[in-house]
Amino acid sequence: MSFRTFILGLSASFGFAWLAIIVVPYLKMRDLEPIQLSEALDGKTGIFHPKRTGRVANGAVVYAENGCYLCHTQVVRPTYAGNDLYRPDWGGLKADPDRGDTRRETNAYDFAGEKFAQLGVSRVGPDLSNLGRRIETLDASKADPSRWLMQHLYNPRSFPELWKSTCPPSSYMFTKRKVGHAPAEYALPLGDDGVWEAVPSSDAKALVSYLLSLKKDQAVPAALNFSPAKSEAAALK
Amino acid sequence: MSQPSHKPDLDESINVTETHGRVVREAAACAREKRIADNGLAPVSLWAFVACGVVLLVAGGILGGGGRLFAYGTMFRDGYIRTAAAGADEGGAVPKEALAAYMAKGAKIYSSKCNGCHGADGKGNGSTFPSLAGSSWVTGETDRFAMVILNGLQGPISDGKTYGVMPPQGIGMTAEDLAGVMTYLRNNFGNSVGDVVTMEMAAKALEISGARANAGQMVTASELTADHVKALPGSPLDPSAMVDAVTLAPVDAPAP
Repeated sequence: MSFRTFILGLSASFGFAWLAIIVVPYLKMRDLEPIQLSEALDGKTGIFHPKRTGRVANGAVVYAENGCYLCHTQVVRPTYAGNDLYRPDWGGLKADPDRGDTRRETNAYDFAGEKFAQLGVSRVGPDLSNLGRRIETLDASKADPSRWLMQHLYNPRSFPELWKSTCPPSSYMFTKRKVGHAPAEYALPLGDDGVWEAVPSSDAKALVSYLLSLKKDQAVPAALNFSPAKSEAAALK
Repeated sequence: MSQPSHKPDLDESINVTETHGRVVREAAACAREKRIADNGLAPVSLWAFVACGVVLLVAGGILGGGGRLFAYGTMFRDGYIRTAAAGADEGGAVPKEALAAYMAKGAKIYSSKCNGCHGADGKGNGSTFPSLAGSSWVTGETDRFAMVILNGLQGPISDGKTYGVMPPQGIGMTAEDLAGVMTYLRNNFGNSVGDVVTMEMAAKALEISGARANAGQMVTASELTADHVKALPGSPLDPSAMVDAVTLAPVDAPAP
């Protein structure tokens, strides 16, 4: 085999896979046709556009840089592909106090505003599709959700219930220093004597803001609503 | 002086013994290679190709059965309906007692629409914004109370004093919102009427408000006294009956 044949073969075998799983999906999904809401089916008009608040773009970069996607996914599959939807609070809340059952599948529009859809590589850690919702609602006792996340970033195993966590600490995103005349904003106290504190970097703050913005359980247009109740309604017509 | 040789094989530079040895070794190697090919140990045989082909066919069938291959433009399989959760994992709002459910709705409306003037404690400020705590128009006839909320109010109020003008709050208010906020005010800030203004009653209130003689204008004390000193029609709801916390529709579930 000549060197030329080898290079051509190598390019062809990797190039085909690259075309099939990177280029073609990118070309097809980069400009999604917006879904028009209809007054009759959805109760409002306009286009479907899941809104998010927080430092989404900045935080997504930190999320990618630190390889969070290697263990955490952000995709809740349809029920024909897996049981993600009914894992506790992955797909949404089973009994949201305001909206009832908000569980639903992830769709491509959920990643609007991010450069990459951080689908994830493996499910070592829990799915983060609705992390923001989960922390705010289920962990209401944790008065400030961002503080809980900061603590989790600094040392995931510092919570008694998470002593078995395999999540690596991101303490490098914090600066350990002596407390000045007052604790810094979002700083974590180290020890009980209040002498030392861990001050989060801008990256840590952006990441926490991004994680809190993960609420992929908004109401979806009829075209993306696959609940059995909807099919029953259609059957009655 | 030597002549150029006409017989190269016999050239002095060729070592005949070495050349002969090399030819014999290569012939032996060729023979060996041939034997390997003959006894079925050729590097890849046909049956291996066939076996791989069968595997590829099966794999292709499985992939194809899972959906359209490379159908990246579609997110979900055609005709997909979510299967229900296994066991007792059915979702939906947890049923709540009617009074608590209505008041939870009302608290949200209050904090967005009323809080700014009447204050977080419902006591107003005593000069421009009257107190809702202990007001007989709040705790009294529901029709009168609903008209004030929906249409606003000018002139003197239940205690005879004249405060600032109350702007109408009915724009965009649903029966659910009105029922919630009325129930909330009648049972909060020290008021304890103990009944629920149901959605049915609130819907009637919206009707009555739209049918007023001078619709679109703020109500006055005289109009309220003339036309609206009555309870809103509708069947009362037991405050401890269980309702769906989201839709406020009654549910038959027994109290937990």
